[in-house]
Amino acid sequence: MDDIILSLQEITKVYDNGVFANRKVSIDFKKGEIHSVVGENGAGKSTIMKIAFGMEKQSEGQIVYKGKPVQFENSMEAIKLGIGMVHQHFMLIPSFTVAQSIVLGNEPVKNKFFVDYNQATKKATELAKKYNFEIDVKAKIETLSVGAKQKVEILKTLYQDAEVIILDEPTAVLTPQETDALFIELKKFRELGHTVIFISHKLNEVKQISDRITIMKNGESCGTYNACDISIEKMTELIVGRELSTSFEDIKKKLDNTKAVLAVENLEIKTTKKHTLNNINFTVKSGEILGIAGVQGNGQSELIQAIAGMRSFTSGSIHLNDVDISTIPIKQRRQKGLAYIPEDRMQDGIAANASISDNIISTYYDSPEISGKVFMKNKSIRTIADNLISKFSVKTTSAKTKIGSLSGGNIQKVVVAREYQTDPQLLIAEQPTRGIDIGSANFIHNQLIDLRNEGRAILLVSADLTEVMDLSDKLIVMYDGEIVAYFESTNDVTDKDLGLYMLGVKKQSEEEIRRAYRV
Amino acid sequence: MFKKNSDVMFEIVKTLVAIAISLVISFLILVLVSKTPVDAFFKLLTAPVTKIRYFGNVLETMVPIGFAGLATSLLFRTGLFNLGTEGIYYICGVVTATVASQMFGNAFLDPILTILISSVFGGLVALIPGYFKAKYNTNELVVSLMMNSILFGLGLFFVKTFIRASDVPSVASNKFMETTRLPIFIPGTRTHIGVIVLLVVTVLMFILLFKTKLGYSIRMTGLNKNFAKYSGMSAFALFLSVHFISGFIGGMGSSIELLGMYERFTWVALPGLGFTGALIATLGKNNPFGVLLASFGIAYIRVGAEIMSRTTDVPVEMAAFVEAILVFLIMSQYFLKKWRDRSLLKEGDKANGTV
Repeated sequence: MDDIILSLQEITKVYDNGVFANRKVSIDFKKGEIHSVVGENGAGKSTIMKIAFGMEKQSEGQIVYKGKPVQFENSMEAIKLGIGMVHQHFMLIPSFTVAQSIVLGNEPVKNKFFVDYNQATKKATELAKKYNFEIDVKAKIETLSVGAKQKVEILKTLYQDAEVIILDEPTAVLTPQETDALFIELKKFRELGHTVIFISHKLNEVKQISDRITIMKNGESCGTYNACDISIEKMTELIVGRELSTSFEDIKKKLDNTKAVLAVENLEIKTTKKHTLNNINFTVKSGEILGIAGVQGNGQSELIQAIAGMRSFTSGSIHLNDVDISTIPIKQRRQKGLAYIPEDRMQDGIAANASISDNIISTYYDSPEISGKVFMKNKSIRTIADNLISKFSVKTTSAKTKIGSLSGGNIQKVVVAREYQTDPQLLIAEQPTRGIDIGSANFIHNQLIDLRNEGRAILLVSADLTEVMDLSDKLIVMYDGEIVAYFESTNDVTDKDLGLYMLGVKKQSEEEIRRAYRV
Repeated sequence: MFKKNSDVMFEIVKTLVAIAISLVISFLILVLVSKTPVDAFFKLLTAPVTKIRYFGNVLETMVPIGFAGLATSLLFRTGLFNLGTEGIYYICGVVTATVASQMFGNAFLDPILTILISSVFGGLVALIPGYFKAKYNTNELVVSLMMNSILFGLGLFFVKTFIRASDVPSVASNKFMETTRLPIFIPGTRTHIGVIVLLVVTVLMFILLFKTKLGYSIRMTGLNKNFAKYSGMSAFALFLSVHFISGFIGGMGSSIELLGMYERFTWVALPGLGFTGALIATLGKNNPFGVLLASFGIAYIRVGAEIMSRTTDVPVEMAAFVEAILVFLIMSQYFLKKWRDRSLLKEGDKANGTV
């Protein structure tokens, strides 16, 4: 088809650390269409767009622009050919005027040396008129609203003669009214023959504005559809749908005499602008895994950090075995039986340049078992480290190896082994198997089930729906800082329904949600 | 607890190569500036070991910068870029001068007591930037540099106003009591017992870092403070203890230097010893024994250059030149990195086996 302006062909992107961001992704963008790319956070949408815009280089595959294969060394080259991108986080200089910002990098010049600001103002005004943008080109950027700043960014790409405009989550920062205005503009672009690539995870908007929609999941494309041919439900299913799962039902023991180990009551985190967490009430009982499902960035991280003591919260309370731990330091929380597998293992979970044995004791290094009043018992540490390494089958030559040189899966095993060693009452497992190989992931899953069978309470947060659904006994769903659904059993909900809750389309009644707080 | 992996090996090789390169460059410079480059180069390299007196010079130069290196390396280890040892050296020198003229007259007790008072004082002074860091997360580099100026100003004011000697024309304190003087360790030189103290403190520092609970939390905090926080270590108590210990060692070094090498306190400017400590800590990779080696190396170069300048036409500043190249090469993250990466890959293949 000769109306295809930009074609991404079998693009694969592997980062240095071995993470696949994209795997054989092929998308064709037609001239004069609004084409949406949707998917969860981490599905690889941004990466593929950065490759199309020359900010990242693909590992394999090729980009064909107007029928010719191209290879961008940097984004300047993409801009020259007519591809523009508006980033999620604006890249504007606050003290510049709108006109100055628009011409920045490509200023009209007089006398070969001086920037011609009158000319710039004139050009900017013309441009705004042509595309029907209402904006004062002499205003300073710092005085503008978010929506207006976005207009400046879009005008900037148009000033650079962009034929393909990539918008990365443009509506994330806009009010509904601003969004409507943006959509009118986008349609205007389409009339004028521009191609608009719209990246989003808000399905309603996508359905409303797009001509065609490409759905991405786990770095792969799940196909491109005409917007009129696909329902929101179908999109949801494709976005959050999961592969065949392993069942842990038969190895899960039934436990009696369970009691609430963790009780979170009316937890609220308020920042100046909005509620990060609001009205959070739930309990985790001994011998159960409570899963928290949700698209990332809906308050799960903040909730976990508040429970683990990594951040403070505005109001509410957290009880561990009936002891109020709301304000006590991390060390005391741990002494009371809390263990925590953090989301970002490299940042919080380990010291990459320290040895495995140093890393495997960090959360209980001053327990009498391995340290006296002043000195550490290096022999006991050795024994513990060696035992854990063999028990958790960490692949390494010795306990003295730098942990940073291990693979992600083995590092995570060390983290899990360490938290396991403290014999916790409550284990918080945040993205426990993200980015690691299947073997290690299975191993860690089995360890979690073992702990559960021993009567410990486990709070599991994962963006991987298969993981949450397979492991959890009970399930809560978070959306926009609130609990929007609670399920007594993972059998009570279908994937499709779960997706609707996760994307904020559906919400349970207040009473149904209150059931998450069980005494 | 030297790890038997290639890390230590790599650092050793890298240091040796750096030394070799800096010597070659030094020689080229000598060819440019000297009429007798070979002679000068030879003097620079070997003079310190030609006479026991010269070697004594190396040891006595090594003592103050070694203590400063240990004090600073502890802060660096914790991830604190604090350059306050300079000010500690100055103010503790003033304390030593004050105390050393008021002692009991017991040749055993006097030096010990003087050094102890100076050390504790140093520790307490270091708590000031430590507290600000721990409580308000102020930038310790800025605070410590400001403190250096403040301590210098206060110290000089104190010397001029309260303990200035009336019998000498220049600004200097009253004489220290004879009994406070540190005993000579190598006959025929001025090398005093401070060398032994430095060795002992180095070993203690090693034990502190690698055998104690405090040392463990220092190392983990220095490597990744998010990780330390996550693990439940209290940065507040840690920052205070580390600053106190560092200041304590700094105060000790200053006091030992004065009691071993001086009759009066004569510093009318910052002595530069504390800053050299930062250099040495870096060269020694913040490892106590590395620091000891680095302080010996720097002292050796300085004494060599000193002797060279006395006997040839090359100025003593040559030492600074060699030091600069050394630091440049050893600090460089990318120097020999390709070679390192290749050997790491090999090691990785071996460790991962089937993976």
